[in-house]
Amino acid sequence: MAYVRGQAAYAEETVRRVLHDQLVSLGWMFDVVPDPLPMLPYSATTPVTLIDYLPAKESAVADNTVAMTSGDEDDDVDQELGAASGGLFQTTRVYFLDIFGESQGIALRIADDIKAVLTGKLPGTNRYVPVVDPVNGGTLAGHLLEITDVTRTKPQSTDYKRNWQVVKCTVGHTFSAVEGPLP
Amino acid sequence: MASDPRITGFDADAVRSGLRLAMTVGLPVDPEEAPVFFMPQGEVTTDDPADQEGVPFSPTGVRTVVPRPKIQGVKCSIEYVDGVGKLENFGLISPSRVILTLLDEEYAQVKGFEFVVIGGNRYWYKRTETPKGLVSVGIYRVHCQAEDEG
Repeated sequence: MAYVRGQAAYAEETVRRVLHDQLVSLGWMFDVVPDPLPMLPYSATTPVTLIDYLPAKESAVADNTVAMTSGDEDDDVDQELGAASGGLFQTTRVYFLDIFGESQGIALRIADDIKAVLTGKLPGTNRYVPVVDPVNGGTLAGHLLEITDVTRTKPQSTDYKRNWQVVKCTVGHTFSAVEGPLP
Repeated sequence: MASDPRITGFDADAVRSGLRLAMTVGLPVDPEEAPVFFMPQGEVTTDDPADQEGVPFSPTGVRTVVPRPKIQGVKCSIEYVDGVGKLENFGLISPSRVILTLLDEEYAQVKGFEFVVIGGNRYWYKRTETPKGLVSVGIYRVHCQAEDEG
């Protein structure tokens, strides 16, 4: 399928849904938090909350918050000769998952699970993910994400975000398109 | 009247009452925005193999966590200090701070707190100035720093 206007948002939504579905599957979070709260993995006390922005500076971030934000997007790279006349391209984008845990140990375990999801190490996960079509449902034919360079770090810039972990990944988005003709 | 031998007629209770009234006047109108002091994490216990924080290595491991105590309704004055910038080897950070002034009795309630939440913002305990006195009324000024560079 050809380029879809706004497909960067489709790709981001795909990654977010993968994380959401897997965090639910792993028992970290709930669509509707049950009462009473069942036992969480590693006996954590607070379910994970997945948000799509970095919490405001100084804000009292809820324990076990996972903030997904996007970084740089590279130029489209030809994947085959003559791609500009109708062929495959790949765009890579970087995503960051900032994890603010209730403790360092819980933050580490959430980060480790997220890394395992993104690297396809847990059952039901895969580095290759079809791009979802949030408008029409299903997936976009011919659009595929490949998740690579999944790294985990514990930022040391300040000692105030004490239970902070960051997982970073690069996502290659392969799709077909036709570029405008030479003038 | 709780007078003090150092100054004849000094009424410590009346002074405390007046200062508390002044502090109350300066506190946020919405009680939800008033300072809430959080003490360090309560005890964590587990019978399962666990790390140094008591978090089990097994996802099905069980631990008991005593909730972090929080103290509300403490009267204090709040001074907000906007970030001024400080050059570090990774760049410029400019944390904003609050300075809380508490009387001795209130300070005793919150002594040892780890962070305070004011108006939804979290400020971590940094230091307490050398104690001061107003005759027999102890005055404590506590510096707290914002969660992140502000």
